[in-house]
Amino acid sequence: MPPLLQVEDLRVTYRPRGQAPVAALEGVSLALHAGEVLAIVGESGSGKSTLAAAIAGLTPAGARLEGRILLDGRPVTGLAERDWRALRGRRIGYVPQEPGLSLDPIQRIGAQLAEALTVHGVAAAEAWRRVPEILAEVGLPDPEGIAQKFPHELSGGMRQRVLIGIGLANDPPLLIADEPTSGLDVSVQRQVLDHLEGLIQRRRVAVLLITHDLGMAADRADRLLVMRGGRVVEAGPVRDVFANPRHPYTAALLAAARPSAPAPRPMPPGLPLMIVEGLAKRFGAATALDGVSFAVPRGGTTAIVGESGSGKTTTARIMLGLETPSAGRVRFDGADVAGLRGAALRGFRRRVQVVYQNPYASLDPRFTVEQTIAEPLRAFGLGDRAARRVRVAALMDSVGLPARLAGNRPAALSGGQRQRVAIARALAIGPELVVLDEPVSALDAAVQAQILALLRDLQRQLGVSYLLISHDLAVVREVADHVVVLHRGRVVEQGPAEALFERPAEPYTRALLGDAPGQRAARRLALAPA
Amino acid sequence: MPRQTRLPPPGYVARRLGQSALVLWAAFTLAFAILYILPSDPVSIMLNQAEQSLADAAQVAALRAEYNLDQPLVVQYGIALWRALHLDLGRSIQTGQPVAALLAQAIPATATLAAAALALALVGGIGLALAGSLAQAGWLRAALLAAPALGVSLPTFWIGLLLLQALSFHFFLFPAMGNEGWQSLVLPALTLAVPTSAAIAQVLGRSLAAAWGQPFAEAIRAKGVSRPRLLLTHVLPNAAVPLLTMAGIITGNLLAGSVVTETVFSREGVGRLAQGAVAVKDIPVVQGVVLLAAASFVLVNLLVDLLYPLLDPRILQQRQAG
Repeated sequence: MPPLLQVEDLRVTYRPRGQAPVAALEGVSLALHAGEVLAIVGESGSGKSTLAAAIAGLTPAGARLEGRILLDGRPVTGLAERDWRALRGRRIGYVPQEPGLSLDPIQRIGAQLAEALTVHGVAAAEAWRRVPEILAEVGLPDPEGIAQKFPHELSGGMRQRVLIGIGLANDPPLLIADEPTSGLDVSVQRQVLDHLEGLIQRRRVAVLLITHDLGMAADRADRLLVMRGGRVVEAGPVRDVFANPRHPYTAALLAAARPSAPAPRPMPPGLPLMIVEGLAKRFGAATALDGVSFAVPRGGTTAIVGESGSGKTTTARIMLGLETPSAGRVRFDGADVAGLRGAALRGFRRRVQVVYQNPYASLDPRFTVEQTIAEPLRAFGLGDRAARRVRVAALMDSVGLPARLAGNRPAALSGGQRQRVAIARALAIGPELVVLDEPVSALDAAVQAQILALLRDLQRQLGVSYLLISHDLAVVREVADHVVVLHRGRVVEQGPAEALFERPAEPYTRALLGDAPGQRAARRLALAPA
Repeated sequence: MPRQTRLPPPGYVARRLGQSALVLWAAFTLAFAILYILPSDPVSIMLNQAEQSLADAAQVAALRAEYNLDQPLVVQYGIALWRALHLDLGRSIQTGQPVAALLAQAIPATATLAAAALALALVGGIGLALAGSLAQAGWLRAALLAAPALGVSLPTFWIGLLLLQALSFHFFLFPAMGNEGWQSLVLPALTLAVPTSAAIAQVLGRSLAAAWGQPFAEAIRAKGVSRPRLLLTHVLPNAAVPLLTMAGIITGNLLAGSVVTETVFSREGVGRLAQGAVAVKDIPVVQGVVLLAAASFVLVNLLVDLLYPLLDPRILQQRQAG
């Protein structure tokens, strides 16, 4: 039996007007059989999304395709747009990335789902009859009600379920899932993927799963294809690739994805830097925090872990004095944060700095790298112009930014470089505590590993304490000494990181650990920590 | 499945109405302040007008009393506001006719002209933007996208003169002046429509390009939807929101343009009325035109605000949350 999808020596070249052509794919071949799940793993820029677009016939105008793509044994490269339209949605389902942006924001869910059917000739009445069925099938409660809603009225997980429903509406034999859970919490991620897995197994749909997350690929796929720079560097059954990576890049990716067990560091002596006592916060009738207590020791990394809605961000905002608690208090070096005014508050702001989640939003687009890093120095009136220049150069060096980038604006930097700028800015005035709010969640896996290594190095050199806010257990495990698990505004468990990861006492912590991508594969493949 | 229509809640409507009233009041006050605090007053203008520069003091006092100029500023303002609320905008210094009547007389002609120009501008502007958005060939696309910038930069009076020259004096297709019949409307409407349609095409072209770039556009194509259908059912509705925001500016364009257009084509209308009144400093009439312009702005923006939630359901939620 011929494979459902066959790609032979596919090359895609983009020719931007007036610029040299850029090769996005350089000779990619793959085969996918009915009912099989093939994961394409790679960083952004590896060509994996170009591959998905080429298979759906959606490469942008100006892209040149060479090689062959065969669907059901028939070549589809060079098909007319009209013939492509008949394939899209009916033979090739597509689940896009960015569930937040992939539905038309001003059309109701029902209409968008019905369109997937009517565009392939289903009568409108029949399509509308099937809308609630499909919504129920993807696991959404109250399908009739959801059909009447607009995308912004649904959560990210619900929107992604709608998109999966659209992708599978016409029972296509092939489904392309392009980073289907980007932007979702780990537990929502797991629920959505579990549901998708059930659907595709029942219908024997072949899936091309495009992801940068090796853990997810290992959990969900039968076979793995690792891409880098437009080429396939490794391909084979998941078990073989994990057991015996042949390409150094795959080995590096594996090392980054494996939960490592850092050597236990002794808790530094002395009084805690920050003490949180019985914190409670109510927004109207809703209780965001209820009796949260923990301590942030000097010199180490304390992590607050929880899903969105657990109260971790509210806790951090109260600790920074940006929000007042309904009850309880936060003491920084003995002083109540809520009571700080004037010079004392300025002193506190100087000793505590923040690195934000999104390096794309947290840097002023009109400031150069140098201006950005020098800003806190200027704000606190430290040094003259020349002294600040020297300090900025030293900071750039310590966060691994080449000096030639000093005059660049954020738009000319990669995500990892931007986060390095944000870290240098936070460290500029020598704070004692740096609050890291999801510091790597917007970055690629490989870049994540680099930034985390940088944060660890800086801590060793400078002795600065970190308060890490994260939903990502792999990140927490990598850097935290002390972990506080928050769930619905309460501390469910806290303790030294190692003990908590090895022997979680609470069922919720165990569930959270079980949701993290890669955990299932770890069990399935007996993947030992490196 | 029935589609529920989403009407704005009464609170939202009431808030918008209140804001509209506030803006009108502010426009009235500003016009009052500027015109009455200027170093001249209706009486001296009127006397100059009548070439009675040697008018005696008693005559001046009588006129000042008639226009309440002998009262303190606050009282003058109160009287003017009270009268304006009753649509009494005073009498023209030039002709002695009530300003409200003059405006009422001039409005139909200008409204017809503006409506015709708006219709032409919408058809031309939206058509141009859609064509530019769908054009596949690079040179055609570039030409279609460059055209609006050219149109915006052409001065109205020049377009008018050019059209007159070509279509009235050379080909005798349309009359060069007057208010008679639809033929006399064609050239002025066309003149007024060119810059407006260019502005519409420019804004819509840009927001269409932004909407095409949204991830949902590709996701919908992946369902098997054709590009023209995607454009009409998803991309255009999404891109129309910024266009609606422009409605106020378009109204301003049309009003400002009508002054020039009505002068060039010798048409009666609000623009001519304003132009004539400004030339002889007929203050009550100028003030009436300013109020009329403000009222049409406010009305258009009120309509836009009430239409927004129908076009983009996210707006109500943001407003309510904020």
